[in-house]
Amino acid sequence: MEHYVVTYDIADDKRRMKVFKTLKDYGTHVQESVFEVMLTMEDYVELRHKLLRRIHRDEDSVIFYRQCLACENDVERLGRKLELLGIGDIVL
Amino acid sequence: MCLQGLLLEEATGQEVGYGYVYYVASAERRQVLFDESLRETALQALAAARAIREAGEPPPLSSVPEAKCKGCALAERCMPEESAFLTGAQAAPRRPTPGSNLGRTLYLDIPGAALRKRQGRLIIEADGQMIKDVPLSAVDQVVIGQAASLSSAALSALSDLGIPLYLMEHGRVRSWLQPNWNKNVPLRRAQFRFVELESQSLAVAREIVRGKILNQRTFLQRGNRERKIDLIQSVVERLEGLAAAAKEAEEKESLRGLEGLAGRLYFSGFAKLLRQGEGFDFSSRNRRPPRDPVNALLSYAYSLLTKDCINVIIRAGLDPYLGLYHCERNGRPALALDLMEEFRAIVADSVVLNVVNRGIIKESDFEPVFDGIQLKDGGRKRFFGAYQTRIREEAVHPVLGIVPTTCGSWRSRRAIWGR
Repeated sequence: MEHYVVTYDIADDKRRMKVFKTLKDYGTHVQESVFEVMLTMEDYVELRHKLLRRIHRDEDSVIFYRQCLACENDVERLGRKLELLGIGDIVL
Repeated sequence: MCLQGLLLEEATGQEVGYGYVYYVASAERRQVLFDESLRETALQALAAARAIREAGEPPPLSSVPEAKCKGCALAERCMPEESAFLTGAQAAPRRPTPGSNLGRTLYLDIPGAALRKRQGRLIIEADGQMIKDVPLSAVDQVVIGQAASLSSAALSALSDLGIPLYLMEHGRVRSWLQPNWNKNVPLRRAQFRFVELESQSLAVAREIVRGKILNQRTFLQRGNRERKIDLIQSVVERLEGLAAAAKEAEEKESLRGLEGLAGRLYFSGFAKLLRQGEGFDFSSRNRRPPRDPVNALLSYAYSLLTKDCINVIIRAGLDPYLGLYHCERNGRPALALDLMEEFRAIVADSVVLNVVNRGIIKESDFEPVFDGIQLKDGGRKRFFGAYQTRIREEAVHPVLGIVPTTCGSWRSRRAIWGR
């Protein structure tokens, strides 16, 4: 299980929406064009594959920043509180 | 991959000379040439796989190819080190590796809520409003605490992904949806044969009761470290004697007697560990229905534990209804109860003690039902949170996440050897 910050820059509105929806199935929408996702190896491969199929490789870009466990503690979040999905239980 | 190439050749009629393997971990792409010797090996492997399928069950691993098992997604299921240990080829298992199933639970306890699927997400609605939107990839287990409506699309998505769903009502596990339940008939048969043999099942039953009593003892001792109550000290000593007696027991009936006696002693000690006053007076265990707050908490904790034991047993491919120590009764998951005995004190009771002594659950969190008492909505959620925290703690320095699977594997292996 790894924690990734995924950012994207997509030239076309329709494709951007597709990429947004794809990422939403895997993690938390943090900011515009930024997601935080917790992925198992299998999910990572799956997501990567789906994104590759959706984007145009010469115009769009998607970046996965993998967060190491040590870096995790160096993250500071200001402002709006976020609940990251995929880390623990969800009690409703 | 060579086999895939051969299939492609067959389907398209064109020659497929090579393929690529992509390694995600190292982001490497390697070309693989399908030469004669590789084709030969692939066909042999195919024949071997067919033979295994004909035989009905996979043979135990004779040697552990260390490098290959490390990091393998199936290691949790094949348990190569445990098998090697049981065949005497290797010393005690060192792992276990955490499996891909982390037990992240979606606990839904809103009356009248609806669970639906939209794309790769679960949508939870109440009163026509969406209250939560959860990626399916973030859930390993779903527990429904109160009647909710479920869409068939959501159910089939859960089945496809192998996510079990549990329905609880009035604090008991009522039913579950278990994807791919027990496809391994030979294993289940071996389990039935194992249970039939009185001497074998007695040996396991002895260990269960002994383990339970020793854990009760440990739990009391731990609680008494600061408090130094004489009564608990004497109970601890007597439990030790009972555990030794359980090891020698000649039949299950006498084991049940020992267990009952130990239970009464243990709960008299447990009562002393609870913070007094606050309406949490506890004298002895009662149930169906529980008549005081502490008993209600205990009952609820046990049913959560039952759920987890059922989960582990089913994942091991065994039948949760056929137990070794608990006798058969319609609708009673006997094997889950067997497995659970050893964890009652250290997992469930410790959560109860924690929430009571720290004031996480208060007397106002309970409501009367019929002639008993039960936890109210908000309290149930907080209690569930506390229980999950406890499970997590253990998963980090491995006890629950691992011991049950190890136990499960032990028993399953023994069941296999037991033929």
